Amino acid sequence: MNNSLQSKSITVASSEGTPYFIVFMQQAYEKGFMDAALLEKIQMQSVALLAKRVERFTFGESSSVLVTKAEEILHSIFYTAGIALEKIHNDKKAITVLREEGLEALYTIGRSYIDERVISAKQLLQKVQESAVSVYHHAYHDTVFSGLPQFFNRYDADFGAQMTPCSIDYPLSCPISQQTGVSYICSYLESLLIENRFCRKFSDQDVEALLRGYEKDYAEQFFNIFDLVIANACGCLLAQKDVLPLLITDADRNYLQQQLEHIERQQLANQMTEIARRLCDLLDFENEAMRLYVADAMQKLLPILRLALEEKRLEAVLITPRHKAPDQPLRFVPAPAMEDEAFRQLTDELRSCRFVEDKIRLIQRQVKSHTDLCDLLAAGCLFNNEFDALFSVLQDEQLALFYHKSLADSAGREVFLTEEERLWQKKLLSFYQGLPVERKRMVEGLASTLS
Amino acid sequence: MAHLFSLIPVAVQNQQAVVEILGCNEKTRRYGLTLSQADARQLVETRSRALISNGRVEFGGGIIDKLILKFRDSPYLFRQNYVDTLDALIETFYYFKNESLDELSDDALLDAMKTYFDHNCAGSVELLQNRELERLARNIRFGYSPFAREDEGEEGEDKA
Repeated sequence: MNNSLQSKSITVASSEGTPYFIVFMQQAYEKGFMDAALLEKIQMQSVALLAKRVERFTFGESSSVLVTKAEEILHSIFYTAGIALEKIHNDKKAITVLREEGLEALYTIGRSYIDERVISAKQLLQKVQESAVSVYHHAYHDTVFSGLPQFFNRYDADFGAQMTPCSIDYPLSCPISQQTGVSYICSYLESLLIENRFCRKFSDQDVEALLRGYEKDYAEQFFNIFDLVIANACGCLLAQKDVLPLLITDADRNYLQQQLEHIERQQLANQMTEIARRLCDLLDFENEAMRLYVADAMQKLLPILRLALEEKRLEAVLITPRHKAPDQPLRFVPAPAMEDEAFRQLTDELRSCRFVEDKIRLIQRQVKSHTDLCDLLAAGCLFNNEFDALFSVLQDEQLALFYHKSLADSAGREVFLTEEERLWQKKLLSFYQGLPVERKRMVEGLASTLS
Repeated sequence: MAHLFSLIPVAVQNQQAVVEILGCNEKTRRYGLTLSQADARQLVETRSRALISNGRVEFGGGIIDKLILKFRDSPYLFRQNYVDTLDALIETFYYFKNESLDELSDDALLDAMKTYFDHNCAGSVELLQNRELERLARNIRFGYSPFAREDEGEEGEDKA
């Protein structure tokens, strides 16, 4: 068997929904790396381990659980064992561990590896937040500053390791499939970090102009920012222009239509591969993973570009940036405050909300004036991280108003504030200090034009 | 592959449960209550059926022996209704584990069942199911104290 292991290897193609560990076992059995006796032994061990985990789950207070819960815990065991297989990264060694030490040993290896991965995911999240694109995009900022951090509060590595309990709305350029749990989060964050680093090579003004050129109301749309940036960067290189301004004009599109219309598919593919390489060199992307990601994104762009050329609609792929009109002073017109009764009902409802997302949705739907929002913040409806979650969904203009009214020149005003008002203003200040420098500059700029 | 890791209790587990149930005879004999091998098998089958119909899975010997020992001194249990009552109580137990959202431990639910059975229901399994445990489960679902009674307000709690 050891000889056959050297000549054959288990190639695990994890099918949808089936844990990696199960697919591995199936392949190991079919390819003769594991005999029926060992397979049966592991099955028995899995039931014994499940019984142990269930006892731990119920604190020994219940001898039975719902089948759905037991299946979830069993799935968690298999997921953890699968993570251990990834960690061991050697079929022969993995089977030796299973044969000699049993499934529980594999589970223990996987469990500690999950802890390591959670720590590395936290570090990745910090890097992602630090390198976040400054241009405000709702799905992006909501995911980076609110959705992804939820994972670390809600993830249950003991009984639901395969779950991904957070809301991720922002689509990646190269979506991640076949992964769940902490593996998914790590892969998502690694990809997002590459996208961030790519986008940050271009100025915020240029990226914002590009997004505005794509859609006037870009902040509320679901799309991938990196996709737009890389498409225009590719267009600039194809048109033999400077990449950094991301500027594509009608004339550029006409030129590219003429140049690329009749080009062979393979020739265009080669050209795109070359463009990916040049782009990485130009932007100082030395890292292999980053170069690979850019190359993949370019290959994904290829059929879209070809279709656009065939349809003579290059403007759907290569966008003309639209720069913002010179800053107009912002004018603050206070909206009418809510009726007392409606306000009381809202605060009661907010206090009974279990999830912060529900609270935020409720506030966004019902609170229309800045005064009401300030009153609400001081009404004891939000706790701990919920303040940050709310602040993270505020738009630049709203933050500018807060900055103007509460943060700027706050010295000396504190004595007039109640304890609750001091609390939310402290939270706001700490949230504001954690914002990227570019966004702070933008907010302060807007605040200075407020009249 | 999934069927290889089936969660349905295996024959070995059932056999173990029969042995545990028969082991209780020693402790229940002084109350005039004993079970035959066939009775024990019937109770284990009832448990299997109740688990399946309530979508639950159990590890180890389960709760039948605990239930027998808890109810052995009930004034409403006697030789003629012993097996049938245990049968009904087993089904009731798993049904209300679900209905109470698994908020009550096995011991707490058994304690409540015994208290209601002996006092409020005077040995009636129907009253136990349809009145007392139904109210207990509803209280849990609505976030009240499990033993709150409507006529005494939210604060009022009964003996259980």
